[in-house]
Amino acid sequence: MYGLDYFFMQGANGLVIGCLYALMALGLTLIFSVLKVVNFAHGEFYMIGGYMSYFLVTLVGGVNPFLGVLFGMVVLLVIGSTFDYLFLRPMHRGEVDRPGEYAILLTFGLSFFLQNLVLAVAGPFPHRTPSFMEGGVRIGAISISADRLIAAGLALALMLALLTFIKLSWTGMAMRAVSQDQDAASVAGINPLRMSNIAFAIGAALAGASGALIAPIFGIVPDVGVLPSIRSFIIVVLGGMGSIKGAILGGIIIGLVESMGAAFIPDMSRALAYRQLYGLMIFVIVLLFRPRGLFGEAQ
Amino acid sequence: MRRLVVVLTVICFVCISSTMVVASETKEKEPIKIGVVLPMSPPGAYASGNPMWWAALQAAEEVNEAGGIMGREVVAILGDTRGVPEEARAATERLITKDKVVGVVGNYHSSCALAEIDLFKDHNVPYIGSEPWSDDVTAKGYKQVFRISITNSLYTDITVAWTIAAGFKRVGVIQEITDWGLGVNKQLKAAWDEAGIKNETAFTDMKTEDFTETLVRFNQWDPPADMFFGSITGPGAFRIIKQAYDMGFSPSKKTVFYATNSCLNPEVWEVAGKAAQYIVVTQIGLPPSAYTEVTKRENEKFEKKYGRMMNATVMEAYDSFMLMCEAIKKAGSTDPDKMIDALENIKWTGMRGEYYFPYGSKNPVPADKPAYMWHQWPDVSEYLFQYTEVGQKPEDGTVIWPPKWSQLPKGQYFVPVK
Repeated sequence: MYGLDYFFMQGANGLVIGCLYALMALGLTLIFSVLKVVNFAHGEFYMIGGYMSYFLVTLVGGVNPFLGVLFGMVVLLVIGSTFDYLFLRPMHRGEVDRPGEYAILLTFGLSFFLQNLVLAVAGPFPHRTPSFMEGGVRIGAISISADRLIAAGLALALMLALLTFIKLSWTGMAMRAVSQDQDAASVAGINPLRMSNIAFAIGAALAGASGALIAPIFGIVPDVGVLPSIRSFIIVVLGGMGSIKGAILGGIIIGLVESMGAAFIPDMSRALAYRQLYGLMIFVIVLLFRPRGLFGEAQ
Repeated sequence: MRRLVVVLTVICFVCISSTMVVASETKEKEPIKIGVVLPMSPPGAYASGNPMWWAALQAAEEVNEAGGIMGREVVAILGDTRGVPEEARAATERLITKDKVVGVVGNYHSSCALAEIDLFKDHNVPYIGSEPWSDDVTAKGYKQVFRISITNSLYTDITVAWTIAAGFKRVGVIQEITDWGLGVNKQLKAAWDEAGIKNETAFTDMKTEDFTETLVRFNQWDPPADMFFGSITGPGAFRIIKQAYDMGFSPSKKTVFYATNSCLNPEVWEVAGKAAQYIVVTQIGLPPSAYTEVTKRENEKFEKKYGRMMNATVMEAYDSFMLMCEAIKKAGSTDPDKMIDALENIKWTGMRGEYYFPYGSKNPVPADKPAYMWHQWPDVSEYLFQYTEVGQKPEDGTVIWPPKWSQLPKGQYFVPVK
């Protein structure tokens, strides 16, 4: 029989991991809400964020791992913006016959390209960015590693910053306008192409940030983004396609459900093996009763 | 007119004959192609597959520097299995039917080897398994299939013997769900149950990132686990060490951490850091004290070229490739039946000892021996060692098992955490 301490310990772990899930899913949902593109290379953006942080911190001596996170974000901001400008802009301009299929094939292609490029350049062996802070933190009965706590704290800060930006800044409001109605936004003097570019770049940077935050905890390999990417799709649909608060809440729900499932399913031999399944079950249940997701809007 | 016909016929005959001679000579000079099937890209264990491929290339290079085989160049042709059985089968089929390889070596994942062996049988192509551990690979008794790696059963015997000798009473396991993992776990569980060792296993996908919840569960045991087995290969093998250590579970004074041979890679120190100090690791090969001349020479060469030492898995790739070349040399032909016959009668010393296959078509596996001994190298050595310093190389670790190689005082079976 497990006590309350055990419950809080597992809950805290789920909450911390959920914050990191949410940050990644937030990038995906932002891209979808403004560009109406499902970015299949999101996991690879996450992976590159981790590698960029690793390279900066380990190859340039004495660099603080926090700067590694910032560097990962900046690189992904540039990659995201460039990719959108070169490859997605023709789609926004209506120069592509079947934009939906075009975007899927393009982001799929980018995903394979990036994964194999990193495999060729960085090699097949796993790496880990040095810790933000060694050791653990004890809050009452809850003991958690300092790296996880810092990563979750930074993820929360980034999510808060994005929400503020979207809500209060002119660019944020313009992005929201484009996500609601591109034509109306254009009439109001907003450049949808520019907003799409900014949204894609920020979305990629958020994936890069979550990869860089996770790198000291789980380490990095060229295919490290595959599982988080699938999980992000689940979170985005669970929270409601294109909903920012849905992505945040969805991420935390999935983190908690996975954690509690692995901790409390009585059959220990299966509890960990079905970790991904617990999130999927919640996902199916929510979709059964609320097909638009938690915060999705009717089409 | 008749004379003209005779002259023309003779000219035609000469032309055709000379063309046939040239063609046959060209064929004789054609390179000998040997297929190497390995996981080189995700989702397979590409961190193991890549250095194994480099070892096969090193072997091919050496054979060619020595003049090739029968005056012909030897070429290693890669088949990327990606660790996925259906892709492994497709890559093997391509190697056999398109590239026309005369033999195939390699494999890291048992599931891939099991998906391929029917092709070796159907196309009559000799195969030497470098690293697939599942008993079934050779237990099927295919005349084309040989293996130089350890088997699940042999591995289990050694692990269980050590846990019993060390007096462990409670063991926790996190086990990856693969053909290898499920096979090993089944045998370990049966042996531990028989020995009265309480054991519990949590199965997991190889890609799982976070094991924290399950490690916390194990850490709740009262009395605590004497040993924890993180039976995961690939990057997960490093993550689980760090996560178990960070929460104070294992390696610790109360719980020994037993890891897979993925932790022979130097990256274990980068990813797990000081958490890897005191972990027990299994090494399938000779301890440094028993290295052959070939082991030392090839290791030096490999380190110079690739900046890292060969671990047992990489040595297996080198040895299996060389062994296939030796079989061709011995057979004096690339005829599969002659090569298989040569392999059944071979005696060749590689990096991990002298290779031979005692059981085969002329000497079937006796009833009192397990079926996997068919075409199985029987002298696969395995030892357990413990990293006692941070950043230590595997060969500098303390050998703790078996007793004949142990560096510990008699009656001691592991180095306690300080």
